[in-house]
Amino acid sequence: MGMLSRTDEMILLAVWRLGDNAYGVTIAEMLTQTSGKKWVLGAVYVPLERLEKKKYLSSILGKSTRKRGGRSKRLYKLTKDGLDVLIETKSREQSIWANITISSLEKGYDT
Amino acid sequence: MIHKIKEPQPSRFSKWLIKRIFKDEGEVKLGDFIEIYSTLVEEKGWLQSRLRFWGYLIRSMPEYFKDFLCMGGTMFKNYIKIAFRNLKRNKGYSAINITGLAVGIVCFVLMFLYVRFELSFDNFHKNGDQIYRFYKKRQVEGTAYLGNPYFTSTAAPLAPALKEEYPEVVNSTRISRLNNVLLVHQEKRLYEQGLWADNQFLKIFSFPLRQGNLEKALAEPDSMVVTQRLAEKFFGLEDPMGEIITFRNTDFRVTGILENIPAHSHLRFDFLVSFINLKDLRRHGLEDWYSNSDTTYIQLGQGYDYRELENKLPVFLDKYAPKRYANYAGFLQPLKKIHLHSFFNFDIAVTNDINNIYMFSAVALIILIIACINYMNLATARSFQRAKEVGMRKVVGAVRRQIIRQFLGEAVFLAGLALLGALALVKFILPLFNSFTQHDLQLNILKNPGIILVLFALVILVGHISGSYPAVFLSAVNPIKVLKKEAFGSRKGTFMRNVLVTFQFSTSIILIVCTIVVYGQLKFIKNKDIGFSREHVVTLRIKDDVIYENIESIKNTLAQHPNVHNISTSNYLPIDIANRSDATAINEEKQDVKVSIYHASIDFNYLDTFDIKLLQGRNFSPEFSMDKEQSLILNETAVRHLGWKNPIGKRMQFNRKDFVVIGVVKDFHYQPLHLPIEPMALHMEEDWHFELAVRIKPENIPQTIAFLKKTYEQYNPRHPFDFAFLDDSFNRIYQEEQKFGSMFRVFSFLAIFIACLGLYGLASFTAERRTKEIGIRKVLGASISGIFMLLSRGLSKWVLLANIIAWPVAYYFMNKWLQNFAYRVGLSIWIFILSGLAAFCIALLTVSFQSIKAAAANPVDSLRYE
Repeated sequence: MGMLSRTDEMILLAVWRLGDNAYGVTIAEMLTQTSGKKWVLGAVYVPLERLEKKKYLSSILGKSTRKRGGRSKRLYKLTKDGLDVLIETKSREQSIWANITISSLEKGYDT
Repeated sequence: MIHKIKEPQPSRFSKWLIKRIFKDEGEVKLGDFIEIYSTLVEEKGWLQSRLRFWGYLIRSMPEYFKDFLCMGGTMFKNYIKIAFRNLKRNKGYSAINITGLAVGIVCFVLMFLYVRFELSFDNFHKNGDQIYRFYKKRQVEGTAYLGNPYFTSTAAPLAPALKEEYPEVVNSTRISRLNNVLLVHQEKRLYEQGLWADNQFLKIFSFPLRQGNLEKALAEPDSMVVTQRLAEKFFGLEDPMGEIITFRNTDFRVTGILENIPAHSHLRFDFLVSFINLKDLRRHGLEDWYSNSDTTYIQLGQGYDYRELENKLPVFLDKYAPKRYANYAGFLQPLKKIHLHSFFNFDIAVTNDINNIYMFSAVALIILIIACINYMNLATARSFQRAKEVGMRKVVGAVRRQIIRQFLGEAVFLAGLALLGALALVKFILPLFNSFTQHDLQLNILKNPGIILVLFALVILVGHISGSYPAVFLSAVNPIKVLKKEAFGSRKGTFMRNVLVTFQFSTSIILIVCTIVVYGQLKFIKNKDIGFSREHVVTLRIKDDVIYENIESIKNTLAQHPNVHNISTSNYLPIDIANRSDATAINEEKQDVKVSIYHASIDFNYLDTFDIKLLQGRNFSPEFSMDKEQSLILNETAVRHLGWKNPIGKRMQFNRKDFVVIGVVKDFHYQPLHLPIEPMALHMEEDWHFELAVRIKPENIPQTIAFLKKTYEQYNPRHPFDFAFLDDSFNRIYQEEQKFGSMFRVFSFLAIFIACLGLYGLASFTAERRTKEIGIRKVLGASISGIFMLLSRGLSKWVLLANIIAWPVAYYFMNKWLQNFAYRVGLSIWIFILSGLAAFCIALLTVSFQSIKAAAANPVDSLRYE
């Protein structure tokens, strides 16, 4: 399985965190919260569609609300593949970062 | 029941924008945005949330596109970087490409502006689709007037009769042209173009009135409507309404002011005068079916087919004018066809030939294509430099489509740069082009945003044409082979390149042939013995009664000047005898012969003034009192036509009078060389002799002219001394052909220039690539000339092929063009050989610069590296 880009990784995680309520607005909000950088809707659509094409995500049309002017939501969910790729990414991350702490990094700084 | 949900909604425009930009299925994304907006409204006020929402939307867009463009923009950035590096590294090639494309684009832009203007004629009339012009065809075989049986001139009562007869004709009007006539208001005298027109004219056409009553501006006699431009010239800032302008001794009252007539109108005029006034000015009033100087327009009711009405015209003409229109058939011409599809005698419309438009567009497009070919050739020729890059990209995972996109993008980028250069060039060239076409074309991008779209589309198109072949070619690279440094696709590429070069040279040769033929014909016209002498003849058209009445004493005064050879008055100058009548005579076998004969009324000095040679008989002479009444001089063609062996003393009838032939002149070209010489007669019948011609001596011409002017002005005429030289007038007849020639000269120069640019690039590239080979050959003893031959040999084969393709095409077109002339140069094979040779020499010269450089290089230098 291929490697995930940082954006893809963050989006998959946001979808996972949001559970049954993952759609455009909430995903952008979640990303803004977790990354500390402002995410707008325009920035999430393309990666969302790309991940869906790669079969890491699936989507269904959800309910409409008054607040949305009667338009329905597109709700995203992780697929089995999506979950697998997240697990793989996490374990790779861990092995890359194994036994490295911030203080140990600071020690290696060349003065 | 569905409740309309009343929630705060973002503006309609932003909703439309969201739908357009984000490919939105089922309005899901729109829903997302509305939700964001609703949240904003809950937190902030209405106005602030609107503003913030716009901020949000605008921030969303680049984020969206950034991701949309290949891989979050990274790849795109890389493409641009590589494109720039290539541009910088190969400055020479880039310059060649950009110059070529820029010149091609300049041609295209000029063509676009020109064609757009020509096609826009008469598009401003509200009833444009319902307006038709009447025209007639003379249906007697072999007697076409000036080679053309079609006329737009009609009888005055035609327009009202058409309206009366047919309910589908909602309205009809007739006009008559006034060319360069004198208008007087107090001290001011102006010479202007105008029309006799009735009130229906203003209603049928949409020339908007600024002031005045549309219903009756021209309904009364003695009324005049002027354009804003003319009103300003006469009255400045004062109100012109009700003022008096004198024209032909009648005081006309200004009853309306028109907006200036747009340049894309087939009728150009600055004033209109009541048609009703013509009633007293014409001998037979306005009911005369034999009159023939008005143009008739009708407006059909909505939904009527003009062809149905056309079918009814024979019956109509038979009913109203059975005698006058016996030999004619009537037709209708739609208004929008007038400018580009007219072919009439005595046409008052501003016209152009649709074939000019086709040809101009075709040539401009061909030059653009030649420029695109340069790009293709250079890009594929240098492909081995880029092949490694492509191989590398493929190894890293690029798919073919991405590489195609990259190279197309590069071509579009270069075309964009070329466009910028082209726009700057157009700024300089447009005034020249305007004076050539006598148009006032503008490239105003700010005023006319539509043109931006056209230019944008042009860049994309040019980029895709020129980038297509290199992109397909390069994207087919096999990464393994390339990276192993195996030779790469050189065979196939070379062949294609040669084919393209052949195409470039074929078109160049065609254009050169056209240029030579057109100039050859122009030279032929200039040098042709037209049967009379046109040098040192000053002509003047007499417009004033006072001059006309005193013409004999003027002639006497002029004749006394030492530098004046001869003076003559007539109704036609010998360059243009256009009056024709049907005549009858009896031939040697005592049979009646009918002949259509052109004729002019002349005086005793006409033949001497113009040096027309008398072959038999005698000239008109004051000694013979009957000369003024019944004598006739014919041309050779007329005598031949009638089959007379001894023409002197023979009789001929025309214009309801009997004539006796007293002399025969040598055939001279009294009409343009397009037309064959036909039977012609000279007589001394009373007629308006308004053409004054003075043959002067070649010495002291300015003084002689000054003398002529002084004598003329002694009589206080209202019209100025507006003289012309006969040879200038003669040359002006062939103005169209001269323009045609200069157009071909420019275009063939451009085509050859661009083709050579490309060839130069190719040659320098070949030489560079074969540096080592040449070095080794020289070490082994090859001579400079041998290597030069080696490098240029390939070229001759293809230029030869280009000739073989070009000759038949050029022959076809030029043969067709020459058919326009009854008297023309032959299409000699030498023209073709010369053009081909010229193209070959230019090509060889272009290549030789690089070849000689390569051949003369010291092998030590070329073999040293590595």
